[in-house]
Formats: sequence, structure tokens, C-alpha cells
Amino acid sequence: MSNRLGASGWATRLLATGLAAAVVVAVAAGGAVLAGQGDSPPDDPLAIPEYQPENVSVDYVGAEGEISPDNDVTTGSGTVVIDDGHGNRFDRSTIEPLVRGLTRVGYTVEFYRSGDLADALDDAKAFVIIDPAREYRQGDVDDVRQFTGQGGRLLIAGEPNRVSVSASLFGTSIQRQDSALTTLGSAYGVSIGTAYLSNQESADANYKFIRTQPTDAAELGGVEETTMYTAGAVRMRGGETLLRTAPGTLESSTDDERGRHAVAVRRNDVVVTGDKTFMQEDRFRVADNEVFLTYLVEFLASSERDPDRSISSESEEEDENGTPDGNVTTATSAYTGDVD
Amino acid sequence: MVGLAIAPVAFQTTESDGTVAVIPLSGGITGGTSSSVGSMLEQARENPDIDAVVIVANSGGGSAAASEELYLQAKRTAQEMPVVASVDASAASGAYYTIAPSDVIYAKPASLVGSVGVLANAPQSVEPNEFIGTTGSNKLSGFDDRGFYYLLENLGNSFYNAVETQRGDRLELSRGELAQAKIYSGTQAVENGMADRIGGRQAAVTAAAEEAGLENYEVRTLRPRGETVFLSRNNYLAADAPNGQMVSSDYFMNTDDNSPTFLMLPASYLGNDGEAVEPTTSVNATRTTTPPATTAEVRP
Repeated sequence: MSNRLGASGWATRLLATGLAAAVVVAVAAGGAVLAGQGDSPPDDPLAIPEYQPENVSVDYVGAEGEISPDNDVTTGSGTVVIDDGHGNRFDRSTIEPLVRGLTRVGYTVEFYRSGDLADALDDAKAFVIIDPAREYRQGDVDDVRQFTGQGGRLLIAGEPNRVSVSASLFGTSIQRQDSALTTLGSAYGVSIGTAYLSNQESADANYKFIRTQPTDAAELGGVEETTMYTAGAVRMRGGETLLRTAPGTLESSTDDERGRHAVAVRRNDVVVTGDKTFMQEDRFRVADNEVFLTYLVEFLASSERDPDRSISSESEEEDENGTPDGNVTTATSAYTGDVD
Repeated sequence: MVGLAIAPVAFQTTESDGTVAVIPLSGGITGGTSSSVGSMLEQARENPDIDAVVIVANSGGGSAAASEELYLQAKRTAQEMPVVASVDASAASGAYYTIAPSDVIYAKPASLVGSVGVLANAPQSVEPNEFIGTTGSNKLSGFDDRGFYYLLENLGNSFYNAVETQRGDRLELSRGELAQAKIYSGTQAVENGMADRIGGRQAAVTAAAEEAGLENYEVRTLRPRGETVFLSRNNYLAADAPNGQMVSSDYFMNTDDNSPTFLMLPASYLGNDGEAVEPTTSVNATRTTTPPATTAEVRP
């Protein structure tokens, strides 16, 4: 391993210096990083192949496109309620593309901020929960369960744990932020990892901004690749993986748990994502994010909720699907989203 | 008379075959460091009496641009004569970048080696505003958010490429492992190929002389001109450079300016007064001071 040259070794090294370019090319051919010599002649002592743009630049992930939901897929009109009553951390830029897609297909958007959640969902077709700061009380969980039991669609966009830096006239403070989805998530057999996923090789520039791909079974309307920005792994009992990370993705809390992690999972009328940032104004066009967001708009706007339907029917359906039915990540695991 | 006759012969037999120049790389790497250490490397190349160079590193890194310049200077020197590095308290980030072209890297068990990567304060979204007019949408911030990370990754790739090129097959870390920017002890560094051998300065000097084929040699320690500043107290205590002066992270961060400062040093060095603090977020905490009561998310 050491590079012991010695006196004769140094002479050898001097002789080898002139061949350095050839060595570099050979290394590149062997799959190493450096691919060329740039414009420098091969024996130029000032050559810096390691700095040449072709060896340094990062392939840019394109960002273009628009949400284009199909009116034939959606149910015409209805109301989508966005939860804003549990300290949810989002702003207009987070939801604007989603709202734009929903209004295109004739849906209206309302916010739930306080009061009886069941009343707020009474006339709704779909419910969107983004990164709540406070856990759902049991009554709220029951209301949401009843809602989806009646065919209402539910989209949950969670996040891994983060650190928030707040600045004010009185100084700065650092707070830890968790997506408070334990009680609601457990009711649906879903959890979102607290550690962010990272991949140094398959990323939108930064290791925390990972590229994700649909599974073969997922029908996402032509999504080839999406990006997520500091996402948590999604694990769901009996769900179907919609999007998963590239191989070799690391869950940051572990040293060696590399693999493909689910970051978007669906089971029946519930979709859960491990990131909210992919849908925000300055990210939703990156890669095929807009196509995936179109899928989510169509998912929400194709609800066939029947308020007269009882929750028991969903329970029966869940029992039937409580086994790994639809689990495309691993055939034997009870959880969709186990590392593949 | 006999003694007088023999004496010149004896002098001849102990005469030096050449010189090993010792170049200290101490304290935070700034433009001044780049200039002074770079000039010493240049002097070593140009002085026919100097046959080999030992870089004694005791630095946690510093400015990205200055570190790149030192890398190029060290690389150029290593193309002309043996260069051996000795890691004293630390050769982290930009300091490791500098010694990467060395033929042999010595480290002590308690030396800190690694932190291969770049950090910078993220640009704040400050446009449009009603106070400053600009001709372009990125004139104030310099980047959009994604553009900033692409630029940062380019700097990182240059660093990774340099380390991989210089260490070659000796490096047993994958690109992904290298880019995690971990700091290793000297022992760990020898195990994973970031360094070559356990040893101190004397071992490095001896190795450099051997590389140059010198049996009898002089050791000449070159000194940087001007004042040396230190970001890390540990480095300060271990260094022997004169005029050592402690500086806070503001020295590098240029907090009066909103533009990003690209640094090659471990984030733990960025506490105030040079004291180590754990989270990187402290960097951003000092930068996220634009409008009162705003909140910026910094994910761990």
C-alpha cells in the first residue's frame, strides 16, 4: 500500500513521469474519474487533467415541463383540503404547483386550520398532509381513517428529521424538527425514516438531493427519473413502491445500510412520500418531477369518495391486502420499502 | 603537520551531498499562506542545492482557492524532486490537498488526516428587493439555489480527482467514501491509504534524503515570511511557526459580505474564537441574519 520509492525508486519515477499521461488515460479506461487530458499535450509537466472541465463538471439535471393532468382521469370537480392545523411546515411556494394542477382539473382547495377535522373533510374528495409539527390526536386519526374508508384520497408528504436555524433581532437558535406522523402513520402501517437518504453518485449535484426512479410495476405516466431533496425512507405495510432511490443509497444514520430505499409508496387511497421539497416551485420541474406531480394531482382528483360508505369496508379491504400484496420491493417482507 | 594534511580529507568525506528543505505548512490556509508556502516550494525547485522537500503539515485547511494553488505548487515540485510530507497535529481538508502530491505521507497516531471536501455558506435569496438595483437576477446572490450546489460539487470533484490521482492505487477509499469527508487518525489514514507510514518529522526527512539518494545531507528549514495565523487552537499549540496568532472563523467567513466563501477545512473548526463546535449549522447561523425572525432549514 505504501509508496516506498527509495533511491532507485525515484529514478524509476523520473522515467515514469513522461508516461504519466498514458497512466492517466489507462486509469480512466479502467473506470476511474479522469477521462481525458484536456488540451494539454501528454508530456506537459503543467498538465492538470484532474482539473479539466470534462473531469470535474457535474451533469446538469434538466428542469423543464409543466403539470398536465388528464381531465379524463379525474372526476370533474371537488374539494381538496390541505392540513394547516398541525403546525404544518410549508409555504405557498411548496404547494403552489400542486394547487395549480388541482385547479386545472376543476378542483378547489381549502385549508383546515382548527376545529372538528371531520367537519372540514365533510365535503372533501381528498386530504393533503404536509410535514406536520404536531401529532394527530386519536379523534383526528379516526376522522382521517373514516375519510379514507369512504374512498377519500390521502396524500402525506413527510420529511426526515432536520435542524432549523432561526435568526431574529435577539440572536439565533437551533431547533430540531420532526415530521409528527407517528400516530397517523401507525394507523396506516406507514413510517418515514428520521435519517435523510444520501447518494454521492446519483444526485442532483448534492449528496442529499437524490435521484429516484419508479419501479417496473408503478404506473406513473411516463416518469423515468425524479429528484428528492433530503428525503426519508418510506416503509408501508402492504403498499406498492412508486419511487425508490438508486442502488447504493445510504440512510445517514447507518454506516453500511446501502441499497434502494422507497421514497414514495401507495396503498389503495393513500400515497406517502418521504419529501415535500420535490413539489415546490423551484424544484417541481427538475427531471420528471412535474410528471410525478401530475400523477399526484390525478390521484387526488380521481377520488370517488362516498360519505355513506362505512369505514368497515376499508378495514376488510386492508385485511385482504395486509399481507405483502403489491409489495414490489421485496417479495417476502411485510413492509414495502425495506432496503433492496 | 600530519593532522593538517589529513584534516581537509576528513572534511571532504563528511561534506554534505545535498540539502533536504523542510517547509512548514502551519495554521489556516489563506492567500498569504499560499503566497509564502508557494514561494518556498518555488525556491526549492529553483535552488540547485536543494534535492528534496519535506512538507511539515499542521493545518486544518482554509480557503479553497489558496489550497488549490498550494496543491499545484506541491505537484509541480514533486515532478522535479522527491517530496515527502509529515503530518504534525493535522493535515485536514485544504492542508491534505496540499500534501496529496507527496511521494510519501508520514503521520503520527494522533495526527488528524482527511476531511476531503468543500463547505460554503449558502447564498441567501435576497432578490428582488427595493434597496439595491441590479442588471441580472443573480447579481446579488451569485447563484440560484441549485446553481450553488452544482458549483460546490465542481470544487469537490476537483479535490477528489486530485487526491485520487495523486494517491492512485494506494487509496483504498471509494469515491463515495472519500467524499464523505471524514477525518481519520494517522493510524486509520495509513490503513485506508490516505497516508503511507507512521512516523514523525525525522522519519520524513530521512525518507526524503533516501528518495533523493543522499547519504550525507543538510536539513534546512525554510520559514514563511510574514505573520502566521491559526484557526484551531490545537494546531497553534503544536506548531512552531513564529508570530502565531489565533483568529476566529470570521477571519475566513467574511461575515460582512453576503457572497459565499468556499472553504476547505473541517466544519468543526468554524466555531467562534477557534473553539470547536459540533454542528455545521453554526456556519449558517452566522449567515442567516438577513430579515429578522426568518427561519431557514438546515438539514443535518
